[in-house]
Amino acid sequence: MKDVLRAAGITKRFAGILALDDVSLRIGEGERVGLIGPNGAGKTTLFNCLLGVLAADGGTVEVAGRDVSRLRAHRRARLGLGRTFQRIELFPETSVRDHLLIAERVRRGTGRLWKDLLGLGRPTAEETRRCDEVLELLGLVELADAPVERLSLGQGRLVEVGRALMTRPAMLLLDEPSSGLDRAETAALATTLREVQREQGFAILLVEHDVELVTGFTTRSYVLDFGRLIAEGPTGEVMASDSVRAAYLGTYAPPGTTGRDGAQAETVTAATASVAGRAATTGTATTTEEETR
Amino acid sequence: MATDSSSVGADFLRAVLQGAPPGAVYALVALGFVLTYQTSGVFNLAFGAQAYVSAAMYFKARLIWGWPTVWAVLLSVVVLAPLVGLALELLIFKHLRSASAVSKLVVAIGLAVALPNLFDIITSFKPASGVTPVGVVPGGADVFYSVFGLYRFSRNELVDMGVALVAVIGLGAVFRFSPIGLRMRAVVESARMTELNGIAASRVAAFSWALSSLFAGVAGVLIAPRFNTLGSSDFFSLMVVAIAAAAVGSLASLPLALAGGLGLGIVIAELNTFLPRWGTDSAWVRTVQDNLTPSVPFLVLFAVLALVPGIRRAQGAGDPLSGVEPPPTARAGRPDPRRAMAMRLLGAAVVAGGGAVVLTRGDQLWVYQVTQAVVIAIIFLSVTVITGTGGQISLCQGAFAAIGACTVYQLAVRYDMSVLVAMLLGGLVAAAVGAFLSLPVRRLGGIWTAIATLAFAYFFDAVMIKLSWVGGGAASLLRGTAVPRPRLGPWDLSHENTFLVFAAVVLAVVAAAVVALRSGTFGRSLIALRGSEVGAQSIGISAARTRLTAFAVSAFIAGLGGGLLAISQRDVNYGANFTPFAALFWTVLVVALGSRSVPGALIAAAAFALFEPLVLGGAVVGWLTRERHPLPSLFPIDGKWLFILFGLAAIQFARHPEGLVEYGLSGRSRPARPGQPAIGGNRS
Ligand SMILES: Nc1ncnc2c1ncn2[C@@H]1O[C@H](COP(=O)(O)OP(=O)(O)O)[C@@H](O)[C@H]1O
Ligand SMILES: [Mg+2]
Repeated sequence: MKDVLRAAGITKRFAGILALDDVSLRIGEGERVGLIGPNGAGKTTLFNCLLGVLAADGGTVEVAGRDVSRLRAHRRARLGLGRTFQRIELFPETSVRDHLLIAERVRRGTGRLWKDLLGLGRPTAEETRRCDEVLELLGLVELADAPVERLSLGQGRLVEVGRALMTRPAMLLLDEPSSGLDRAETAALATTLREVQREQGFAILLVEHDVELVTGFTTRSYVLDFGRLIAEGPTGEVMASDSVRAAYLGTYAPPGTTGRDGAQAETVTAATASVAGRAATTGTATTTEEETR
Repeated sequence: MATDSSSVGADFLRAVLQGAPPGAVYALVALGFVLTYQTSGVFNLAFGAQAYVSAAMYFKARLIWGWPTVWAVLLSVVVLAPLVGLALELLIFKHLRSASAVSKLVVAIGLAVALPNLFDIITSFKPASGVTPVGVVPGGADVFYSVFGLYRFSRNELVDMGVALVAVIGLGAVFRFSPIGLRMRAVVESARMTELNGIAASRVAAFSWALSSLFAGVAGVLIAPRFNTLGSSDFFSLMVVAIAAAAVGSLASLPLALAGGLGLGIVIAELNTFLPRWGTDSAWVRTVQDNLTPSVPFLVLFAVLALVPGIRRAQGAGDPLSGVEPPPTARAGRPDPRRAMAMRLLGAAVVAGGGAVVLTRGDQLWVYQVTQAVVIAIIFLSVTVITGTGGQISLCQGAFAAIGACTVYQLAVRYDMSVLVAMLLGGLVAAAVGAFLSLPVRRLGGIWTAIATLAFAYFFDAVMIKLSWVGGGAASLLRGTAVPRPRLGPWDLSHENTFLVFAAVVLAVVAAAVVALRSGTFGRSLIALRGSEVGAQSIGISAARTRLTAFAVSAFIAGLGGGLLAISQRDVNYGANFTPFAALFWTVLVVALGSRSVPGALIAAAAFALFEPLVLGGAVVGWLTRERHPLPSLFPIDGKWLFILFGLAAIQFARHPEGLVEYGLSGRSRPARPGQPAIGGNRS
């Protein structure tokens, strides 16, 4: 299987804290991969480094075998990396359809200033048709002309997915798509994502806290803690492994053994503890580093 | 000045001494500016206006009321300055705590325009020419004290340095020893704390506004004797110099702002000392001196913005809360389509009817004033593109327009080119400059674009316009910058009515282009970028390239309009039309009335050119009363009200970025819910 995305040795530092420490991962074509870890583990930062929103301090990123480490975010997006955001990033004062139309236009690369000036810059029938297809797929047809300010969070996340899909991504990076959604909305989103992914065959890297969503949706997972990869493997095994349970999941037991809600509460507790312990760990790390120099 | 002891070392030291007093004043302003920026997140471009208010109050009390110095200082500096600061904080900025930095900047720009005029009206103050502002000590400019035989300080200069020293020590003591000062320091270190932590933060903000405004007042009274007459634009320039000083410390560090202010004063003095000496040998150094020295602050400011990539993050560096962004402003309901259509028809009828009346029955003056409105509307559409569609604040639209006007002058007068071709070329030259200007700042965005463009506007003002191949140089001082009116086929544009029709046609074409651009790829990309830069990038939109295009397009329109303005006035008239401070008001007007739409720009232009004669001059009331009753003695109302009304109107930008016109159309049936994030939990 060819890799859509390969990252090696990604390191990122923020004013003293080591947010990512030598992270390497690879994702094959059409593969569904999870990325889990407690709050503040560096998952969003890893996304931003992979996508070029943040400049990594070290490491390389390859998309379909091409080194993109020095390319800016929009160039990487055009090479097939689509994404959604943990904190929603829509374009206020425009409609749902507008979001998809501009993405489609940029993908085609047919926009020219002189065409705009001659009034030829309006969406073509072909573009509108493709946009309607995706709206249909995501169940957003009724909301097509609604300004995004009036959407619910769940609908907003769907619009982000739709916007990303218009770029025909080879790979979609989803940053906590379930955050802020209730159970029913999460389930609906998961169903939609699964369908779309099956149909279009892009790869997925999913950051998620919702254990059920991760286990049900991904085949393989990476676990990030304090900016370091601490485990990797088939999602089921990773979730069950002792080191992961110790570092991240606490006393988590696979679904079925205890109630779901209990499991989630434990996850949250573990995550909080982990964050609280961060300062001490970071301090130690810095000292060791200075000693080595 | 005596140049007998001409060793390089002595000259150097002399320049240090000479540069220290103005440097001390720059430092005071820089300190106050950084203090406000760090404690309240307001990039307070009204700081110069606050300095002006204190200086003018002092002037009025001393020279017109004949008060003794002590009382005049007490009133203008100790009482008035902090009060103005407190009022701004309590009445305005306190309520905008969660607004974006750009919104607050726009509010401050509106205040920069409104405050000086408001003061002048309230105190019926007239900056009289000929009466030079006085210092706080008798004989300040005439009594000198020699230091090591190197430099003779005037009394005023000694006072400048002494007061600055006391102020800095005082600030240090407040920071170190008073409880509120300690808290303030904490806020300076983590600016976001102000927004998130209730009552204590309010007190800290109020205190620091009062304190920084006190600095503005002190600096204003100290610097005033250096000007021939008191004018608010000089104080605005002083503030821009101080921003350059503060930029040295990335607008984040008080000690570096202090050093930056002193350093700037000294560097300028050194350049003034040494460049002329070398200039006697080679003429080009002379040219450099004439042009470089006045532009040093703006070059410094621009260089810091362009070369120090970390500056954008400087405020939030090490701030654990820097990632916490305020929610975007909720927007008023969409325009009610039926009402919008009715308004559009009404607007078209007013334009057509008004045009017909002016063309057939208007006298020369009215035709001229309406022509000005039409031409200014073209320039204002450049603001519609860059600010309305692009969400970027550009403060150098005046320079772009001036480039267009000067190109017309140069090509038409010196090279005998067709005026209309020159006008188009003027737009293209401005576009090239705009594109070039956007290169260093196109990745910054936010308030940094505003600052960089402000630096460019002042650079253009200090250097470019004086060059013989731009503004005409010495030749233009003698012969003016006359621009001819052309013929266009059968139409003679020197005929005023014909010219008005021609200008209206140009306006219609530009307006159509702006609308077409907005609904095309460029406009949609720009609107996406305005909404969310990372979101736009994630679908492959290049922020840098889109912004570059936006600047080029906006500069083209401004250049075209500037050229047409010169043709309509038959003169470039840089000082009256295009100075940075004058152009500030353009942005204020367009933003207040509606930067998002073409009608917004048109109404802003009408307000710019016609509000004073029609409303303040009493023409409308005159028509209504039909000369049966003589005009009430109320008229004419002072033209300064134009600046006050629209300057204050710009304050609502923070809540309604779409402007008064569109807000008025939107109908209040679907009111905005302030504080609610763009994507709320409200299901529809
Ligand atoms: N822009 C930033 N500046 C400074 N520190 C940051 C920034 N973004 C993230 N961090 C820090 O990096 C670490 C990882 O954050 P993040 O990637 O958001 O974690 P996650 O997404 O796994 O919850 C956290 O400690 C966070 O405080
Ligand atoms: Mg995250």
